[in-house]
Amino acid sequence: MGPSMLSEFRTIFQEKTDHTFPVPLSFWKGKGFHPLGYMCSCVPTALLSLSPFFPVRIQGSSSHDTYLGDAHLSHVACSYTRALFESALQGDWDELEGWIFTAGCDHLRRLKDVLEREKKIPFPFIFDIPHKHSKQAHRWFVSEVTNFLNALEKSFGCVIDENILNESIGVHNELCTLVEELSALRNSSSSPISSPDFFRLLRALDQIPRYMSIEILSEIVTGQKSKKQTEITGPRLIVIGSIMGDENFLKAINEWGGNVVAERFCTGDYPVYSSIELLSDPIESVVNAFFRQAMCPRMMETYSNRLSHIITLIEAKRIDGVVLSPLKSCDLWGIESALLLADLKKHHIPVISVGREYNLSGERQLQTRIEAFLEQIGSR
Amino acid sequence: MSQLLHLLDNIKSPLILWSYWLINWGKILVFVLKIGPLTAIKGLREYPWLKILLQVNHLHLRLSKGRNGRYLLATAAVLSSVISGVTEFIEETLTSSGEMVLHEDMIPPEILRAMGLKPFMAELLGILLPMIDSHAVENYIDRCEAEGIPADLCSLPKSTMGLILSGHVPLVQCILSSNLPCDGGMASYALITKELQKPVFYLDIPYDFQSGRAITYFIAELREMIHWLEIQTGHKIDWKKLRRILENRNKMVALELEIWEMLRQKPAPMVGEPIWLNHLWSFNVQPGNPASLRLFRKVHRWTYKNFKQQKAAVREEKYRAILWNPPTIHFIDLFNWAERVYGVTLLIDSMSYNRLPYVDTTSNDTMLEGLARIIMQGPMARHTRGPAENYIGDILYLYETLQLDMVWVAGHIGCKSTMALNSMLREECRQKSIPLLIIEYDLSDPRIVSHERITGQVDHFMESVMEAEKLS
Repeated sequence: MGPSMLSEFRTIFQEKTDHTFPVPLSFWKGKGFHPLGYMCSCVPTALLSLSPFFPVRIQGSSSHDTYLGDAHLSHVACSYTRALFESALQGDWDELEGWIFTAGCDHLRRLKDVLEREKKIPFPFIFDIPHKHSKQAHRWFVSEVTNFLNALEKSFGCVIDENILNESIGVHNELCTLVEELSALRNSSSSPISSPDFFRLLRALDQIPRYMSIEILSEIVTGQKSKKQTEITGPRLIVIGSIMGDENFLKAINEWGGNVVAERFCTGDYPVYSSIELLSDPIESVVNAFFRQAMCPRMMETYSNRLSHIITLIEAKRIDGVVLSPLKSCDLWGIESALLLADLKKHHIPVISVGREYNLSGERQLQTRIEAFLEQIGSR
Repeated sequence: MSQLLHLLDNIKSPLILWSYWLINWGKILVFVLKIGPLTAIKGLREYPWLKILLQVNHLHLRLSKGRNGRYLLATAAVLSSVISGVTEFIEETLTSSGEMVLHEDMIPPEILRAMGLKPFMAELLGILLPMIDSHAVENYIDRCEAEGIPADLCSLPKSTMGLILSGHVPLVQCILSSNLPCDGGMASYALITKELQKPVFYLDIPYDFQSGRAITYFIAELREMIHWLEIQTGHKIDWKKLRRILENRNKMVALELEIWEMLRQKPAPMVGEPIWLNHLWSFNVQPGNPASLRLFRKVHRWTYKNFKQQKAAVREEKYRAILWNPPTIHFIDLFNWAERVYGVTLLIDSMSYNRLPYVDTTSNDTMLEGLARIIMQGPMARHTRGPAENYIGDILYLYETLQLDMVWVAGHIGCKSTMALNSMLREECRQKSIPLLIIEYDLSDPRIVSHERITGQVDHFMESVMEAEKLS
């Protein structure tokens, strides 16, 4: 299989910076960048890529123990928000210069409340994102974006004009095009790119300034194109569901005989890395793109669109089976998964739903279920 | 003299209790005769929950237990009004031939009524049935979970979805929903819409709904909803009718505010169901209805008389409490029990303490603005959406204003939003030395936490924190 993409990433990163990845955020701050943290894919990250800012996806603690999160947010909060809280309280994200929240779901809203009470948060901003797409919802989101940009200007003493916004969208699109190219390479039945590898690469890209992500990714994409194709066996799977903390879930499925070739969750290739169509007004461009791309079950009217999108993906990527994986306690994905389970079955698509936590746990039980599912696909 | 009054109360109480009991059965009998026995039998076959609803009079006996005087009268009157409302609801359901509009409980029915439409509040049965029979919605919860809906979802949307999946709802022409009050409630409408295969309109309420921008946004949402309903149903809104409903509603509000004001007196002149159940039913199910207004007038009159005479609703009021979050609907007797065992009186709850008082009825625009504010600050919406201050601020305000001795929170395990707020509330209460009881339970499923375990939590709190002794 050759070196993983993350190893390549590390090598290129070291060549370019003389430092070993990962570097602390203070490294970038020393170079004049302002890292802005976000934790929900509904945040328009193109706006966080305005130079000298860059978006950093805040990740939860990789530990299964979330004592502080459990105590403050309760055990019924999803493990993602508890892990985020744990990580934040341990000081993992103290170098961030801004925290961009969304009213994305009940858990994230409460995370903001509790976190702000326990810790001084620099530049806390909450995007009040509509739950539907209508003319006035569109106008509402435009004013949200405008408010955000005004707040950014006021707090950081910078000037943001149309040119800067267009430039930022350009940078965002450049990165998205590269991710899309890399993602397309996975369509081949003998692609050397594994799902865990892809996942880890995206996570790494989420921690550095966009210009650096583009430089490194273009080298990786060129390298991957010339890589030897390897025949990979096992049913081609897509994993759909809530956010994922590490690649272990994907890795485990592959080890148990599956072959994850596509993902549809927040830290997979969708929807953060989707290009923005440039219109005459950059804010309109960002808002339009959001409504076109928003695929989170928090959007009230678009279940059938999400289902169609998934079916299209299944056909395009020649998927043999679907693994639905909602986070426990995630009401949005919990209900969405039940609906998808029924609808995909109606389309005669093999599907399984396995509730999981943010970081992989309960492997044995999971293994039994996944193996049984793979056998079921194999016997078709 | 006081002993003589006690004696008189003791003679009058059974009379009040049993005369209301007879009146209530009379109402139910008249209703059955009105719709005709055949329709009733057909209804019982189509809607198995009817059997439970028709036992609503049991609530009267349970909730009146140990009460006397005007408190008993008010409790009985509220229950009797609920029974009338239930029969009207059943009649509308049974005589409907597909013209009802299914609406989420967060969208009050004033606009639908003003359009001459018959509302079917989807969550109403999930709230009402467990009040009458604790186990009433277990089958619906199980039905929902069998479809793959996670067990950790709130049991109210689960029971509502279960009802829909079981086909135990009437044919409706369209659906109204919103992003209130929580993710689970909102997302449940994806399943409901899919199952019923009817057009749906979703109202979107912004996160920070207190801002002027949010109000403007939401008024436009309401306008769009009315326009959509007019197209879907062919019914036009009658603004004069809406004004009449809202004017009545305003009168109810005026009476309620005065009642709340009188609650500040120690001991309280009225507590329990005449406050919370009255509000829950009258403002959410039948706002602006002449019957609701009459009920409020009665409760106000009795409260005022007690207030003037400095008479306590509960003879031995030892502790004054509020209940936050929806009431323990599968164990609705909790406060009647607490009243008798510890002298704990429930002054108000979060489901009552929410909506902005008056709607300006001078123009169509002002009426819509008033309704927009009402919906955005509706039960649960005001406290569980938006920032944490919305939840905690009201509790602290009421603690001071009503001179409370303690705060009770119905810690519904399926409510992720409020469960996450409880650590903040605990901290606030600790700093202010406010005794706080968070009851761990499930809203409508007694299999999760039994009645005994709920009273056990109360006993533990009363003994260890309040150092209270049982009255009997």
